[in-house]
Amino acid sequence: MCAKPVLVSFSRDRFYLSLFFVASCMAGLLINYAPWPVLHLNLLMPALMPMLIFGWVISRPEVGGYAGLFLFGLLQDILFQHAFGTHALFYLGLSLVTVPLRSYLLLCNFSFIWAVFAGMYLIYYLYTGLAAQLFSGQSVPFSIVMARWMLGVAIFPLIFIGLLWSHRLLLWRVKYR
Amino acid sequence: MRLPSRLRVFSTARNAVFPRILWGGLVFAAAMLMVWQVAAPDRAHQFRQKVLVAFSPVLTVASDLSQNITQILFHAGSFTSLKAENHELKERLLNFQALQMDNIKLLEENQALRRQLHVIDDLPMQFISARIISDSSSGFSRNVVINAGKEDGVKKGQVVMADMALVGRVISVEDNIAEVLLLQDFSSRIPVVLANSGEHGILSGDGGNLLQLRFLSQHQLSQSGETVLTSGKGGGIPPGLLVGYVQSADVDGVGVVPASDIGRLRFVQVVDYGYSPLILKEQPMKTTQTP
Repeated sequence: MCAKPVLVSFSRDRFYLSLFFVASCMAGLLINYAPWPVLHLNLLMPALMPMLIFGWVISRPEVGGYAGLFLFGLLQDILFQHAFGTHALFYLGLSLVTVPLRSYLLLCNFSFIWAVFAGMYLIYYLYTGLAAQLFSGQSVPFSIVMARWMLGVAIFPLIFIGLLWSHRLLLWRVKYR
Repeated sequence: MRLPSRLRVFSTARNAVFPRILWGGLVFAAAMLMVWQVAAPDRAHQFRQKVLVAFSPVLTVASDLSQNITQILFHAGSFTSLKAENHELKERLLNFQALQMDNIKLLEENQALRRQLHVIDDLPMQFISARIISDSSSGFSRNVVINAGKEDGVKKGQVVMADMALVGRVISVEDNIAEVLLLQDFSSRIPVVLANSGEHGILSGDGGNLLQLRFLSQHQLSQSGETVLTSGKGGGIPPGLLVGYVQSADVDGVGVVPASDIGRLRFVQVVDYGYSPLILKEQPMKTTQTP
């Protein structure tokens, strides 16, 4: 499976893409934060924001920008009771590492992007776990963290390809309607 | 490797000075926020509460949506078994009606005996039903936000129950929302007593679904299935509330399954017993001064 990048005009459609960035990130946050009164879904649900941020940084890093990553990271910290700045720092670090590599990653087979995401996602859980332990003494059983990580890695292709296809559909409609 | 021009859009911008300064500034801001939270936790908490209040309408809509989706996806199949379920419920109703008759007799007898012994009646309980509008269990904390607050009579420290079992307690209240710390949270500590052995201990959460019973006597290990009730020690929580059942007991510790499964709940009841010291701490009682 190879995800071909779809790049059209950047300047003209940026407003629509920015709206889509905000909407997708808000949706990711709210899906994680809303109560799902079945099968302990909240406990096992993987964090969607890192997937979305990774997808956006790989596909369209200029849309969200550093400020967008910072604000959504901060919002995630506030809602999920992490120390303020924990996620903001992670997303800024992620963008710093990923943006220079994205051009090469997009030329690779999707499985390579997937593997990079799996590594990043593991670092995300280790980092947030360490921060939670450090700042508030909170911890989560290792088995639950691993289950979340595996579920997150499993559903990442859906999120990533969904994002790419949404860009294509959105820009096609904007350009040709 | 020379990249195609269509893929070089962002890489040309990375050498610019402004993005680097912006990145550095935001990293500095994030670090400062961390320091601020450690230095002024109260203000940070107030800030968080304000953001939660601002987001509460969005959270309510998201909660409605998630519950509707859950209903459609996970309970659609249950319509097929409605007939069998209806039959079973009718049978249960007959059993409960018989039990109710016995209960009425026992209640009358109990009241008569209490009158003879001059037993002081328990304080009346007041229930405030509220809907769960967010669940942060996918983070490292285990708490929920409910759509009832100060305006509905919710106070900090009140216990929260569901299915007549304890699920947590209110840790912060705003006008229309309140935050409930669940028993499963890492920082939750509840004094409890085992119903059969009378052994006292502290029930703590570890972020997972199973609760841990600590500080029990080593020689009196509890039995599997034993009921765990609140002991009322410390005064924060009334005694005798159902908490859960012992699932496993060995030398490493005692695992307790909560009686109420918070993962499947949509509504909870905030219970006001009226005498919690945690509540009184928030609203000190007026003292009369002797002349």
